[in-house]
Amino acid sequence: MTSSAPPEDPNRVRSASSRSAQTGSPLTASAGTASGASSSGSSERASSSGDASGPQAPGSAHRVVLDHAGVCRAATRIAHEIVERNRDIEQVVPVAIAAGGIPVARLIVDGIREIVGRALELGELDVTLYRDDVVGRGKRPVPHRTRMPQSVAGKRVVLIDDVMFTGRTVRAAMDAVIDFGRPEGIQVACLVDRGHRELPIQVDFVGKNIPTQRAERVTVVELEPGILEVRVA
Amino acid sequence: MKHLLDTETLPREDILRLLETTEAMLEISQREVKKVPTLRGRTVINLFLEASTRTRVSFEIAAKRLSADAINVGASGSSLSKAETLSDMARNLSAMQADVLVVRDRNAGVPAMLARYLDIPVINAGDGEHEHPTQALLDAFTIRQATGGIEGRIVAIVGDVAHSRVARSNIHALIKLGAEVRIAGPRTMMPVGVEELGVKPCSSMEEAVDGAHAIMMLRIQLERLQGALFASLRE
Repeated sequence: MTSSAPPEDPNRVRSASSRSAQTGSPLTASAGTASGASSSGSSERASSSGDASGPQAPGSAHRVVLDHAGVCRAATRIAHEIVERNRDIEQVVPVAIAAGGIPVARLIVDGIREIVGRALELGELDVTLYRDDVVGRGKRPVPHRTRMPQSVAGKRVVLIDDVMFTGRTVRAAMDAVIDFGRPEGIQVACLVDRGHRELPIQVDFVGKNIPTQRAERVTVVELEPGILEVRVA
Repeated sequence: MKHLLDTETLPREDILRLLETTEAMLEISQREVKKVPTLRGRTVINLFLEASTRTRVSFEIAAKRLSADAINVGASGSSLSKAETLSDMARNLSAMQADVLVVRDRNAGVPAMLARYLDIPVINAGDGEHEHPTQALLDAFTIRQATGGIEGRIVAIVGDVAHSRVARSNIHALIKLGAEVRIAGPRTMMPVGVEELGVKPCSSMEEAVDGAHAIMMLRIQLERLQGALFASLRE
């Protein structure tokens, strides 16, 4: 299973590029690549085979920026930070953002279990129906099933995703969580923060900061169940 | 896929995508807040020119759970009773910036005609003896939930198959999804030419339901028959 930086919607990449062109920021240089690439219509959260480079990056194959060992170290560190920040760990409800956040969240929940000696039950949240860019986009993604095994009311929800990019996925996820009840607080953990925020959203727990060009694609690839690596193309 | 007019021309992949989407959305109706913001600010007009409870309420609930604004128009309270033509009324509704039009009518082909007139997506909620595609999608979904799949399942449709739009839509959808479809009923109520689609006509109800995974029982479509096929109702 391949999962990618959630907000890779071609339309948004294109509009973002034209925005930076107007303001004359250094990102202008990559704008051409961005719109050219998106016209090839690569789909986000797309299919298997793990070839993250795809047709949109001519001549540049992907590079692995975090191998499985690195992913495990990052997940363990995030687990420690979550436990440190939330001394009352039974107040914490971990919720993976489907589909990309699920394998990452499993590693983090495993890490927490090794520290505190008990497994937290993991929720899975699909935010497709909460996104601000679903209607009007040609092909609709098929939503993943949402599973919220326990109430979030009065609890501290830790949202877990693979790649933090524009912040729009987290915005949608916060709305979705609040529809399930009023949590005492919401925190955000992600394996990779690649920058380029479009909303005022911060991450509480980061596995690795990876500076990227806006037009690049960052994907977390599940090579086999539980074995992840992070690629940039 | 812009309109949903029938299952006869609906590609198999679209049917499967709709079923999978439904699978994920089932959970929304079990939440405390049964609503997602997907269609916020969109307007859905439900134009029901023939009696309906289940389908009309289902469409209204669907629009509301997706946060769209639903407006329901019936035949008696509408301008149709003032002799405004259907196409004029539909164009007026579309000029009011509706985003989706759901239509039920007693005449076959009305949704398809409106789809040609209008720029917005049209959904057929049942047209005469023609089709009722959303009912067929729901039935397919139910069969899939109950038996774990549709490919290779045996479905018996019993009763007034010839005059039932639900049966017609179901036959097209289920055959595309790989089910074995059997039909049985009084001779005058058997459709003509369905064998070409792969449907198996049976001479008795017992034969049709033998080993079936699902059975659909159809009532007699009295509102469409006008007494032609019976000597009396008691028969």
